[in-house]
Amino acid sequence: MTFFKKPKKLITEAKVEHDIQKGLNNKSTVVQNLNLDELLTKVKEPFSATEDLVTQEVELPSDTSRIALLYIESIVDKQLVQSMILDPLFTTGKEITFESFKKMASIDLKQETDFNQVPKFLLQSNTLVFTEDTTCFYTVSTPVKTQRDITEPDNESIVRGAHDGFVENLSTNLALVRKKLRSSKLTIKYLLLGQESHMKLALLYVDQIANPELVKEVEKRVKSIEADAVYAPGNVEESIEDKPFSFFPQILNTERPDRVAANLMEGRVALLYDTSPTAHIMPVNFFTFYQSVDDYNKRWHISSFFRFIRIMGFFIALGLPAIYISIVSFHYEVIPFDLILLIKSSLEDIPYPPLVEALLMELTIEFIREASIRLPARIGSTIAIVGGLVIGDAVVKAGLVSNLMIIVVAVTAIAAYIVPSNEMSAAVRILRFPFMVAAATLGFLGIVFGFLLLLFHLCRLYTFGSPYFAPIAPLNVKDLKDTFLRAPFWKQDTRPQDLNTQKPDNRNHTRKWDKS
Amino acid sequence: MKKKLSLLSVLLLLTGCWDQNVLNKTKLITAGGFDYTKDGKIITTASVPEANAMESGKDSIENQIYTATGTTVRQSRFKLDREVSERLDISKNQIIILGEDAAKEDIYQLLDVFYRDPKSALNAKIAVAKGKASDVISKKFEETKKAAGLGEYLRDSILSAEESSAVPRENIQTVCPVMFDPGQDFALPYLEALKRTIHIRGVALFRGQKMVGEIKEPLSVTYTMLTGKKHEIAMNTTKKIYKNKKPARLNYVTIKVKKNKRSFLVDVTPEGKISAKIKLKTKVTITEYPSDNLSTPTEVRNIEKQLSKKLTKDAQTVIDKLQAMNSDPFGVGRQVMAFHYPVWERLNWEEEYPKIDFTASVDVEVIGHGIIE
Repeated sequence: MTFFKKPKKLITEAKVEHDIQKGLNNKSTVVQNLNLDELLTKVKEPFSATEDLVTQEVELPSDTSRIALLYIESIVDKQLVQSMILDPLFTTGKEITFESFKKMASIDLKQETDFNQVPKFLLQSNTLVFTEDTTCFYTVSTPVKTQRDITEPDNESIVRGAHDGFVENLSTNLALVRKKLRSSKLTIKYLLLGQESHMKLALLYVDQIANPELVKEVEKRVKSIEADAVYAPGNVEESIEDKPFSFFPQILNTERPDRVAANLMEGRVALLYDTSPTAHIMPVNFFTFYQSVDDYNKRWHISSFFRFIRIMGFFIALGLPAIYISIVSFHYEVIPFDLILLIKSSLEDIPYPPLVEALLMELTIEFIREASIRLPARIGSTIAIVGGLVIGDAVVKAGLVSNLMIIVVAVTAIAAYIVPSNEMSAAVRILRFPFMVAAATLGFLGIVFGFLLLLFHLCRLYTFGSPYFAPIAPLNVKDLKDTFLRAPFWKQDTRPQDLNTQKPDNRNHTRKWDKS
Repeated sequence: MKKKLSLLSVLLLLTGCWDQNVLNKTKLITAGGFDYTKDGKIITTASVPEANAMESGKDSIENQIYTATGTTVRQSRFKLDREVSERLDISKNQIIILGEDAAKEDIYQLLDVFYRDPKSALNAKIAVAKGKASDVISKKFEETKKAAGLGEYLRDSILSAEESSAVPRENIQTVCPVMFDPGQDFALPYLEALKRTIHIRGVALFRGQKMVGEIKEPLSVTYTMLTGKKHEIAMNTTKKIYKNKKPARLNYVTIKVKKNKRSFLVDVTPEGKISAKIKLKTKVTITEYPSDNLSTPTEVRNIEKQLSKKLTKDAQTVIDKLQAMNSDPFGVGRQVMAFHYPVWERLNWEEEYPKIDFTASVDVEVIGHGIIE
């Protein structure tokens, strides 16, 4: 029977926690009684036998007292340690007090007394300095710079406008946003996520514009995340979005500081992450995903035209294969006479029903897409040749798929990538398949049902308290200015009303000179 | 939620494809014709194009002709369906041809199927063939041997005749209400199969639902002008306005109608005597006039006068023919019915129409004479 007994945990988690706390607390109370060596062993206790936790003991030439540096070498810039701590110490070489140390190391130096905080400081790339005076210690920020250059994000490239993008470093990213938005009202709140991973993220909003309820709600949702580790922004997104089962993205992912800045000024809230170039913007509505920074740097007629094309792309990407299937298998009487014999002759010897034919090609396109993302650029061109030539041409010659199906699939694929947002594009590509099935079973009626359900869903969807299909349902004529059309800057004189901002008027009073 | 979702997917998926109507498993009829056998059965003739996909995007079309006999149109079509390998489909039909004998019977009995089937092509042309419909629906025409399907060829022939106003614009849909209107009749294109081409003979006139006569081609332009049609792409006609110039071609002028304004007056005297008058004000350009001298105003005025005289005479000929046939495509009866109903009630229109005073006058104005002085 003993085999089936649940083995007792040796020490419960809470107890470990408690022990550490106790140990550290003990230290702060009995700290005077410890010498430096004992203190170091104590503070290193929470860390397991990790070898990149380095203790460096230094004996100053002019002073007999010892000091010890404690840092995690993998996340600390050793040159900084040398230049900011060791060099000044050796040059002056006095007994260390906070003041004298401060004079020498000058920046980023803090005196701390709470020994519980030691692991936290170490994990935030600080170097800790312990002296013989064991009542306190000093922290110097010595983060290692493993940062790439600021470049334009590949997944959101534009023609006109700023070409900078976020990098994998929070402070750089915040600097980029601040540069675009030099406002005293821009508020940044730091949050730490993951009991073990300690991912740092920043919540940004513009005070006195953003709806305080919204800020509170976002903060509440982010803070409620409890996990040992939160690795990626995607984890956060999935934890805070309203309807995780919906196909539609409810939080805007972007790597562009200008986009973040503009959305903040509209009254939205942004989340920026350390270690990831992705920023999240919320709440957003359906049409946000069809906007691009490019739009605001083109003349308004042109960007309105492109908006229109993108919305058209949505319908084509969603419906074209379905419409093809239903026309060919139910309603061919809608094909103009001069075209029908052409279509008929290309279809004549296809062995598969239209649905199978369409699925075959749509899946092939998805294969090619997925393969070309994973492959390095040099092999990627091979995929283009294999995909384009072999599949496009040979499949028709072999009589597996009709000419027209190739055209439909190609147009659909292009239309799906018109969407500026990768997430929305993926959603549309997934949704296409139920539409195809509906079209194959019920024809046009099936497509109508599909669009109806889609519309129901979009109308019912709320993100962070604001309607997802916003200027359309509920209809708000004034807000249509930045959806199907991109109204000129001098017409965009209010913030979106569905956000309930504190200042609905954005004080765009341009072209005053033109009035007289 | 899960239950609902699974129910929904079951609903969608279990229907399967039972009611699919797949394009590559049907045969499209592009032209259909009706004749009667001697014992009154209906012979349906149908043309089905087979398109063969060929290299370099050029398709060749082969027309296949099938015939079947049945007591009714539907029955004969069912029999036709037995003859061909796949299902026959009428939804892309381009033209219906009625044999001369079939047209002289009640044509509604033949067309009834088209008005009942929601898939039938109501915009298909409808025409009458001299002789038998199966003469027209045949493989013998030169153009159909190359690339064009037979239905397309016949449709396009009629369309081009419509554009030059040789025949009125009609299709299955448009003739239907007129067919049942006691106050108006209609006219259809009248075709004749020559050895290697199709020939537009003119228009076939109907009374009620039966064909009663024809107006041949040059005169049929005058007929369409009298219907008050807005000008077509090329409402063209060549008229002889002089008698004794030599060589003979100097006697002729060709005009193109630019504007055609019709006023149609139907008058009933207190005694119940009905008179109708069609006045046309026609603006034309001269597209051919071998005698020339068009730069002198007197010559132009002379032509106007001659043309007006000639066209008025033609119009009167058309009207006389119509009255003789007792066909009323201009809808005099409808006017009487609408504005003088007590009179209409008393009348037997079929007896009255040939006797009414029906005149026409055409007033021609030349507004252009081409690009040379």
